[in-house]
Amino acid sequence: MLISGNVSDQDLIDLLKLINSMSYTGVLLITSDIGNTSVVFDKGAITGACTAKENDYISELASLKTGRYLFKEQEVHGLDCDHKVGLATDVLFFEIAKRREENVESHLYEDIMVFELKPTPYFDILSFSSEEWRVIAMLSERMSVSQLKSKLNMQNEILTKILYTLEQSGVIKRVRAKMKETVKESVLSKLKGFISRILT
Amino acid sequence: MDKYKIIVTGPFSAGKTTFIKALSDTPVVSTDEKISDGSGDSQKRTTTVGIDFGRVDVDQDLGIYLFGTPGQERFNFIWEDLIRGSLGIMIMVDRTDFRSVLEAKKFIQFYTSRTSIPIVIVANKSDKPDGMALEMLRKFFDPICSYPIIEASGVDKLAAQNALNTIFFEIISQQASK
Repeated sequence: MLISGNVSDQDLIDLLKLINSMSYTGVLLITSDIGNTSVVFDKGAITGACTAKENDYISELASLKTGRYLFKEQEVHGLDCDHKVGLATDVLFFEIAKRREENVESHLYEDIMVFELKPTPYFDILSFSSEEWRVIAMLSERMSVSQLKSKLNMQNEILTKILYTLEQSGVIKRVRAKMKETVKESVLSKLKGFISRILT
Repeated sequence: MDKYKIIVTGPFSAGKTTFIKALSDTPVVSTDEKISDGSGDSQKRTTTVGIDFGRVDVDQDLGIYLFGTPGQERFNFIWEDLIRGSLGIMIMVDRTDFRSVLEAKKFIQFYTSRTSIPIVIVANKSDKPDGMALEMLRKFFDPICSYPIIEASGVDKLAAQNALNTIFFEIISQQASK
């Protein structure tokens, strides 16, 4: 599978997560107006990075908003990288998400949406800000975005950014809407009949 | 005849219209138009701009309407409007296109927070080579959901029916667990 496209079309963190999920070994090259940035994957784990401008690879990855990317499977042993990446991938995603500046897609964090804490082995090593801690503390029980807003008295933009950062790093998860729908028993038995007919 | 509906949604070019056509017992009412905004790939010449719908006759008294949504995010008001009265949601993903997989995440997030009706992820275009393996898709989607992921292809009626059976099964299971 060829992986290439425009940086502006995808959330870069999702792209990194996808390559991580596929356990690929190779290099993701991002060509932007600041030059070439590359990220090295070894069986899905991010092991190295080369920066175009910044000394800090996390800040550079977080700052990329435009340009083209291309992932190519290749042998990575012996590749010369500016930066060795020793962070666990979830920690890296957290740091990149935290430093991103663009606005989060607000329709993914609407008032009705409910979140809760998710156990993660990396929780102890993530360096949360005081604002993030406040959100985490509230989410020790399930809470909607509107409840968080009113209890924390936090601006919408700040809250959605924090929710985005925590969700991208797997610290919180969204909870399904409450059950309201009831399907008639007669409909269910007809669906059962349909499945049986197809299977036989 | 009682009428219920199932939403067939997912990213642009995931194969929703073809999937509905494979399942429908009646001619599909389609709202495809020529692509004019530059979105998408060179293979796809038309896209759904309204709602596609087909019908599966479960028996003579029950028809399930399949409502296919447009894939582009600018139509997300339609995604939401269709939830009311739906029995389930099938989120289609083109497993041969990583952009489709990335986009599908937004659909999952969108519907997870808005409704409790059963959701199934359909890894479509399984007839094509070089698609992402189901276990890879599972690994990618796992942090955000645990919905069933099932292989299908709009050109393989049996595989499409299998995906439909899965959402029916989920609807029955959910009601049984209430």
